[in-house]
Amino acid sequence: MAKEAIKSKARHGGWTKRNKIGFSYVCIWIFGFLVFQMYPFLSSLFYSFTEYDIFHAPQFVGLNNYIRLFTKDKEFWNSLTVTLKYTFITVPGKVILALIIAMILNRELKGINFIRTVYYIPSLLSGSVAVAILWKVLFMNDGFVNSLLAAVHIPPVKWLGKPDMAIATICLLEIWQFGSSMVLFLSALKQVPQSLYEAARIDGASRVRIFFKITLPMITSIAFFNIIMQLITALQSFTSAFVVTNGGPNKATYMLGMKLYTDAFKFFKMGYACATSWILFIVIMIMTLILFATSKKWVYYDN
Amino acid sequence: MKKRNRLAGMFLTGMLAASMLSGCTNEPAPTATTGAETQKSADTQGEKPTEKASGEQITLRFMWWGGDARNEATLAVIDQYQKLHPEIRIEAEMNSDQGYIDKVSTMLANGTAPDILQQNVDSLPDFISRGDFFVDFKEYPDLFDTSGFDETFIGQFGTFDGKLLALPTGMSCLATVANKTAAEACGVDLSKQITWDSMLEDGTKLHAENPDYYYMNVDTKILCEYVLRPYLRQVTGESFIIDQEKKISFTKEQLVEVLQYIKDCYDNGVFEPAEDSATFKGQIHTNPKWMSGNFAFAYGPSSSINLLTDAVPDSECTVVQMPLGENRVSDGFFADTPQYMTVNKSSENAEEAVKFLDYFYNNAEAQETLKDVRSIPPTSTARTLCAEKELLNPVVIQAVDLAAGLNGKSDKGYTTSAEVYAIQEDMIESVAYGQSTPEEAADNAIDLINDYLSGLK
Amino acid sequence: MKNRNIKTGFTYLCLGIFGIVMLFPVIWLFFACFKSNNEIFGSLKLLPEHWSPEAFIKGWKTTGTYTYAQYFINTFALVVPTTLLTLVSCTLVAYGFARFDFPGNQFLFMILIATLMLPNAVIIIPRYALFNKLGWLDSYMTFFAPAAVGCYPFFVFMLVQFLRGLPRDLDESAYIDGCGPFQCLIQILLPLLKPALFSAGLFQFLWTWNDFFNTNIYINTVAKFPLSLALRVSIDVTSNIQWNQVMAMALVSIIPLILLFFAAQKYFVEGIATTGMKG
Repeated sequence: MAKEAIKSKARHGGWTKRNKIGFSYVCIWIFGFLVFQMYPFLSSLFYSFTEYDIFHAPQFVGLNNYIRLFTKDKEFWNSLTVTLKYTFITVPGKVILALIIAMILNRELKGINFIRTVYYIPSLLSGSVAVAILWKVLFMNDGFVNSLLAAVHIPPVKWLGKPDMAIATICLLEIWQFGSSMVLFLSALKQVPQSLYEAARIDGASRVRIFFKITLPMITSIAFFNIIMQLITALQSFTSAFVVTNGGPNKATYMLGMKLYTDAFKFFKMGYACATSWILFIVIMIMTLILFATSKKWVYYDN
Repeated sequence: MKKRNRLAGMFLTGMLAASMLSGCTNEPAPTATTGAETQKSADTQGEKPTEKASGEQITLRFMWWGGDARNEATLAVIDQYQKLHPEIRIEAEMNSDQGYIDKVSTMLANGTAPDILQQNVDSLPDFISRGDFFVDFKEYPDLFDTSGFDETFIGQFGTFDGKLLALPTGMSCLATVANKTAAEACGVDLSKQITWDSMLEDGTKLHAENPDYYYMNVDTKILCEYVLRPYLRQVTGESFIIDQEKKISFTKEQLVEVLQYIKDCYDNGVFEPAEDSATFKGQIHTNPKWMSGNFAFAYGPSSSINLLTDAVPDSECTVVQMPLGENRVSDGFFADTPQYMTVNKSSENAEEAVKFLDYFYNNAEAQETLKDVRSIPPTSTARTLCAEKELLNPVVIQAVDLAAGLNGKSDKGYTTSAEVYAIQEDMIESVAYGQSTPEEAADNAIDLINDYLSGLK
Repeated sequence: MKNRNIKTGFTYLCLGIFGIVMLFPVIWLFFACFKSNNEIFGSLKLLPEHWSPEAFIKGWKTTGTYTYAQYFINTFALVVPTTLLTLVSCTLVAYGFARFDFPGNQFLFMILIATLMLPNAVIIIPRYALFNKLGWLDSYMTFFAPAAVGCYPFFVFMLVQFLRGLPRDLDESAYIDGCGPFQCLIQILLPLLKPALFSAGLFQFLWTWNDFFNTNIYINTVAKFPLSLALRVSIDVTSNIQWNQVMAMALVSIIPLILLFFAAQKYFVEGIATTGMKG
């Protein structure tokens, strides 16, 4: 329905007085877009070809920043790897968990609304320092999680000390906050016409078959939206690594977001950080484009 | 066109669902009501205290970092001063040690720095090289009395290009704190001079005999300042980076040697494995193994020895001389200042800030309150006063006395700039975690440092 | 029938157990606030040995000049205007997009959608430099200004979609009755938009409240710290971290969010429940 609205607006109504007023409302955004988005976006590209320490005027250095990133800066490769690892664990983890839970919660039971609410609470706190601190305390060497393990005679795990474990701990924090994805899935599931299910049941289709043949195709567009938004957020992630592990141990959680922050605001290499941010932007673009390119194959549009 | 529609369609579905989160109802939104209430408080609090709108009230912002004892004493001095000068209000901005440098650098960059800033010794030279941020105390001879300071001391620490841009907060040094009780329990001899070799040897033995015990409590950042750089200084006699020549002072082989040494210490249990100590980085005194007396020694600056000793209230602590290599060119270690105090040049109330610092450094009551919270006081008046009243922690005095006899040269400058420091730390971490061999780590670090140096103007 | 009851019971059990696991960190956080510092570590016990409000009192006061009262005021002073400004600007912009077919409408709307995918990380440094030039750093203008000019495409988009769902006849008849476009928005559409506005406001409130990345970069003075920064600093401002106090303040800082959420829960749940009918 909403898509038709776009289509029907293929022609415009000219510059009538009324439309001029309407345009003036949109101008608020155009101004904001130009000043706070377009200008920073382009100057970020410009800065990425300069040496800029904010105290002095930027100096043009050509492709040096990019060359350095790719040839000299091992930390950049490490950060990129860490970021991708984080993304490839958290995005599918979150989306799949959210879908499973949404499937379970998508039924008429007494008090189900309360349960849905409870499952959403972690998401409410997503990105907050409070939760990051809580995570840190829970996963410390003698924190609650290790006490729990000790109770069942499992030796303590160095959650925040071991590089592999540290990244896993951060990922777990992110996956824990699957609530908003779940809510999106829930509303998508509600929109699947009941008649389809009934027809399938009459045909004697199994539950698994119903899921793969009816439910899943009907919610792919929501899944697609979910994945793209999660991807963009995950690739820029900052707070959890900054507060829980401060990038360590041995740079195991030093994600691109943190590297960017450190380069720009600690080492005053603003130009260099801008170059890093453009790489990040390109990575996001490539991943989004890949998803779009493959979407024809798996995203089902209801028209 | 079709693609665009697809893009739009995709977002439509998502957004539609998102917009349904909070449902469709015409009830008034609670946010709006809370909004109206808090809007008022937002307005009233919109008056910035920094503006001297009401009367002659002057507000100074003073930022520092430190432990509880330092915070308390500094707040007490602020209180005293405010009582004497009711027109002055001093806002204490206590910050954390970690991330302090980032905060200061962004504040300096955007001109929002507090009037009075405690500065990290490591990073101040870098800031000074980047701009004209701090007042020269020599320009205020009537307001600030420097007679209590030793001329050569402030000549060496605080004077940059003939200008007294920073005031040393004390006399301090790096210290090796020994937990006597623990050392005795595992038969460590505290009377002999520790060398790098003896540390490795004794530490290995200690851990082999008492697997729950470790010789030295460190973290990867401490290792830069207490092992990596002094070890090299003892070998070369120079700073890590020679500032005048903008080049490194050591050969790759020398760097590999010290990294191998650090690796050996980790491998043989002289240090606690990095995986275990990582959680306590920057706060080694909170390591439960230190608190339970399972370390014989810990490294720490004399200005916060009390953190280490207070964490083990049941044990007796002392300090011993820093490790000295047998064939050293110089002692490597030295006495310096723990921090600096600077006054922001762009401050509207720079004069008032200088006056406050005069009180902070030279007033007897302030000296008595501050005692040794920033190591041994820098002025002779404060030292005499504190000695008379026995206000200084004897362990701190002992540490500084030990360092006074050493002939190393201070290495604050490019060597300790945030970026180079980070390179040193990363190099040690990657060796400590066994990710790189000492050779690989050294190659990588030398590359990065040369790159940094070539970027300097 | 009996079989079915067992099955339902089993579902409840699973959902309940999983729900408790999910919420466990928050529950643990609640009890940890009443524990002594030593009790927090190395113990499996959920309940504190003695219920002591001390951590709240001491944590609230802090050791510094400012108490958490100040940080709360700051947070509201930051979050509330940001949310209101976002709502006002985004409503106007969305109205412009949804109800007026001026030339270029479609093109501009596509740009707006594209900016949804523009990562904040790319523009943060030049924005910082820009705010620096404008002298806005260390003030809440860094949040207010982008909110006032509709720089939250997510919400514009959301409101546009909602507006498109409202029948156009409504405002067209008002238009014929002599209402101007602005009056039409205020009198006819705004009441209908309330649920969407509420939803957008809720999200903006949550996001700004929880924001750390931007506040950490833009706000420097302790006197202006919102809760997120105050909490971050509280981890290492003292030599021996009083984790119970830190935990207590962490809890206090999220209570408004939880309260707001439960106050809005009715609409939240209704929204999900009515979706099926609407779709």
